[in-house]
Amino acid sequence: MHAAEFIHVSKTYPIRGGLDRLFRNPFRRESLVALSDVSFSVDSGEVVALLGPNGSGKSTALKILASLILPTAGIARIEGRDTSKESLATRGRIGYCMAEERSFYFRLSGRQNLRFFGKLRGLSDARIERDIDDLAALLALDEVDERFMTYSTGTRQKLSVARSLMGDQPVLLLDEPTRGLDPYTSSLFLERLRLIASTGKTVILASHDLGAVDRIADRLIFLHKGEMLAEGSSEEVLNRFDVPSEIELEVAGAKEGWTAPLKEVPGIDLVEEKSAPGEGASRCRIVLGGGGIEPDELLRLLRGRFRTVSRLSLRKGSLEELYKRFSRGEET
Amino acid sequence: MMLDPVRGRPWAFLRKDLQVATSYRLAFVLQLFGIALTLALFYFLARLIDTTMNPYLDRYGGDYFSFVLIGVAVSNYLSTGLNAFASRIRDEQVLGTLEAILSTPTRFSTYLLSSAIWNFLWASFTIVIYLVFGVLFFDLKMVNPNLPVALLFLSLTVIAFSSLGILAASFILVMKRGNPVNWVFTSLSRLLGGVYFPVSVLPVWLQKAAFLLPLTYSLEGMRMALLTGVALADLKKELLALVVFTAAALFFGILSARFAIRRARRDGTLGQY
Repeated sequence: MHAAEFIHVSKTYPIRGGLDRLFRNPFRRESLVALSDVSFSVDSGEVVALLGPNGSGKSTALKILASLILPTAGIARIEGRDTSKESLATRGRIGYCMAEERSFYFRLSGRQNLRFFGKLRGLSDARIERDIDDLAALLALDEVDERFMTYSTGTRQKLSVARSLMGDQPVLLLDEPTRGLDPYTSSLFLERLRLIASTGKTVILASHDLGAVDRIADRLIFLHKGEMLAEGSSEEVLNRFDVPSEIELEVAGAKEGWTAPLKEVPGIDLVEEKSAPGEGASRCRIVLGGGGIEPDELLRLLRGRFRTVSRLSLRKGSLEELYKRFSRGEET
Repeated sequence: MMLDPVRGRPWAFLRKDLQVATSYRLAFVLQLFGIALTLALFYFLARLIDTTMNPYLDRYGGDYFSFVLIGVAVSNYLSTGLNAFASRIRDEQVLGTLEAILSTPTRFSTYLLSSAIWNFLWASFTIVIYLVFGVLFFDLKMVNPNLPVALLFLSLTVIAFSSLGILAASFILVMKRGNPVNWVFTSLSRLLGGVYFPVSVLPVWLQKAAFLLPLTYSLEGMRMALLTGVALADLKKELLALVVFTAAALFFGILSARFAIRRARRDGTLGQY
């Protein structure tokens, strides 16, 4: 049995307009496809990241797993339970961190809010207090006894993360959990997530923080306009889509046409000059394709050919590049 | 381990609502003053009305202040029942807490009923204050009040109005704004239900419309029980009408809530407002 499962799930939202649309087109029914025939499964102890640009269907997928939304077609399961038909049992097994900055009572303190939601989780008073203190320490939530309305964006996010980690839920659904967190807290939180997963809990997170995702996710699922474009570890995905490495080269006192010989090197797909000669330093971007010179070998070659190299950097095929390509619709 | 989806949750809602309500200190105090001002308003208004000139009031003991005080107090339940559920859902949608609540193992019905406990407790507190202040300071006349019958009518009234409130909340869950149930029952009940004047004052055709409203029977039963102390046997007609109305409202309230939550989950609009 998988910890979480999507079997041919599709979701279409009806679009309802105002009176003007009703008068203009009374019989027209519009809809928005949020997910289209998406299937994947996640096993216990796995950390899986849903990636994709805004509107790709990440939050919808998490909400379906949290049983807040019903799929139009297909089945979503948490620990074998159909999230549509066994909503209550499903919700007893998940911790859900919303992407919303709000979702708390503004007049209450963070602690009062967490006590309330802890009770709704069915936790005992002692467990609630212990969890609040532990999570406040972990997330550096020093303001836990202040009113929520005084919180900064980052602190609100910390409280949202803390709420999702309360109790002992085996499946954590986290929508943009590191959004608004400072790098230090974000790093601590991610370490904790890895630790949580190592105890057999399952983490499914949607995020735009590719660095974080690359560090902690066992597997990535790329979504674009509701369709699943790729699935696998970051290495598998980068290899499959042949994401090129890039080199940034800066040379002092270069003459016109200095990049021409580079274009003849096998394996170099693109050489793009980024500044005109005479500016002092000349720069160019070199994009490597597959099957030719290796990046490290090219670096050695460049150092040998240009004696006045002032900057030379290599950026190996990255999730950022693939993300951009997916977002631009270059990979489908 | 099977989770108990109810245990501790009503208390959690009540505690949270009490914390929120008392955090608005001025509003809390002003509400208490409001009760006193309403009492004074109707007391002085009642002094203008010569009971000998008002045969309509004979049936209720002849005292307008007592008559209207029961009307205002019970109509508080109408407002609470009709508004509490719908406004709570609307507030939670605006705050963004509705999805957060419904992502926990809490039944929608538990949430809905628990979320109105504070409002009903406050309405009950208000009624008690009205009656106690009325008796102590404003010469409220209750002749051998039949408290068990009054409580029976009050209980049915609460259930009936709550059911209507749940029907109203279902509209809010789906339509977000615009609440026909609330509009119809609040406006018509205040005019026709006998809050400020006896239904017998109305023209016959309007009296017929008044008998379609649950408030008419609630007020009749409560007033007769509290102001004249009549026995339950003398209120059979009112009791039967209220029971039928309560059963129907409960049935449609539950049905509409089920439909609304499913529709909101299907459309993905649970947290939208």
